[in-house]
Amino acid sequence: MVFLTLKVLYHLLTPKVFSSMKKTILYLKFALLSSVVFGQELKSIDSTLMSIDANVGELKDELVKEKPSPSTGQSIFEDSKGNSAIFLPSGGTFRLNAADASLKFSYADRVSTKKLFYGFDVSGKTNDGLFSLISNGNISPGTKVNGIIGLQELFHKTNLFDGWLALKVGYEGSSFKLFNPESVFTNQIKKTSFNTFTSSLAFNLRIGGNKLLALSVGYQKVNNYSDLDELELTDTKTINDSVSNTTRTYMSKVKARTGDYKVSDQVPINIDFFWTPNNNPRIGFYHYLRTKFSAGKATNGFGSGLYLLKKNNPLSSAAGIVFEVSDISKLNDGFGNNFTINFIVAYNFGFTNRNLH
Amino acid sequence: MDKHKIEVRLQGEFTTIDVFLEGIEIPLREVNDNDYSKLYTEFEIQNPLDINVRLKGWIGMKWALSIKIDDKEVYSKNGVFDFKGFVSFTDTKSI
Repeated sequence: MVFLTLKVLYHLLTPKVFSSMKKTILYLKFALLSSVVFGQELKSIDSTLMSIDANVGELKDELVKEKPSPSTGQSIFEDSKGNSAIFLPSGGTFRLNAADASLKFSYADRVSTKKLFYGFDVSGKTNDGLFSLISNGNISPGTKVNGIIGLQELFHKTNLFDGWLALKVGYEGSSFKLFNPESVFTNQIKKTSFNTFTSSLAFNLRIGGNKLLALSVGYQKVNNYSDLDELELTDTKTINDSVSNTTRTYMSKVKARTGDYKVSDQVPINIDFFWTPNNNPRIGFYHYLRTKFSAGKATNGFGSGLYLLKKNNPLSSAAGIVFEVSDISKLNDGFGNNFTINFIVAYNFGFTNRNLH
Repeated sequence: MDKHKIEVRLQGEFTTIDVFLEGIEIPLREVNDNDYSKLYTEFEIQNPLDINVRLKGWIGMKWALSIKIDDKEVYSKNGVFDFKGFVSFTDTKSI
């Protein structure tokens, strides 16, 4: 029956139809062959991708050691001028001090079996405050660089205390413009540079697990730039063009300060005390006294701060607010001149070190 | 005594670090913030491994110690400092 049907079909098929069927079979063969080849190619691509995935996995495992972790917590406890007797000899921090209009980066290198540790800090600031930096870029820049050498584990045997010493030696430089209306016109605006070597010796004492007392004594030259009156001077110039009979006027603005500019030697003594409650290590209290001996007289100030500390890392502050009276003797002049509120914000950064030896 | 590759890692913020393995004080360097490490390619160990640790730190500060021998973690311990501000322990580990 089947044979008969095929025979009938064979006779019914014209050469044209037969040719068409041959072509169709050829296409089917080609499609089958292509899919097999394509399938093998896909398998090859798949195995290549799996190999790449395995390699990426291995690379990822290797990179885990290099994954940067946030670095925080060094000398974030400081007054509105960026001064502190507290020095924590570990890690690095990068912080913005809004009151001092400064950015500071600090780092210390420390090995557990060595008594000595080393470090540095670098800070840049504008003498005219943060607002001038943001508003028009017309700033008076200043820079501080400190090298640090320290002695750690001063009370190694006892578990009750721990102490360390840090000697900072550095350089501070800044540049600004002073205005003197009494001078001849061309010399009224004077560009002035201020440079000084700075030094300080800090002693830090950790008492129990939640108190840190620090004392520092230093020497440096200081100026009274921040006490001078701030001015914005405007120079107006006019150009006349006789040919076109046109007058052109243009202005240039300069920020300067005026007053009796003085430079003097200063011996600052800083006492800082930081503590956290026994039952709540997320909150830190910071108190400090500042005494400055300069030009034969002493200036006393104090401050008190409240910090929100990071969970499981209570020497790292997420944020802080510090209230400060810079000169107790001028309290009667009003709070406006002597009272400062300083917001301190820490920005965490990561850095890597592959060499674990 | 056999020689092994050994990696000691200590995490947390400390004012004093005393980590002794087999009676030898390990010089841990801070390689990242709050991350101390030391790697020996050949370190003599007489089974079991003797571990002696004393750490001083800040209340609420989390700490963690990890010891890898021949790339395999064989010992780990962690905790949080209380108001006393120190942790001290001695341990042994068969390898």
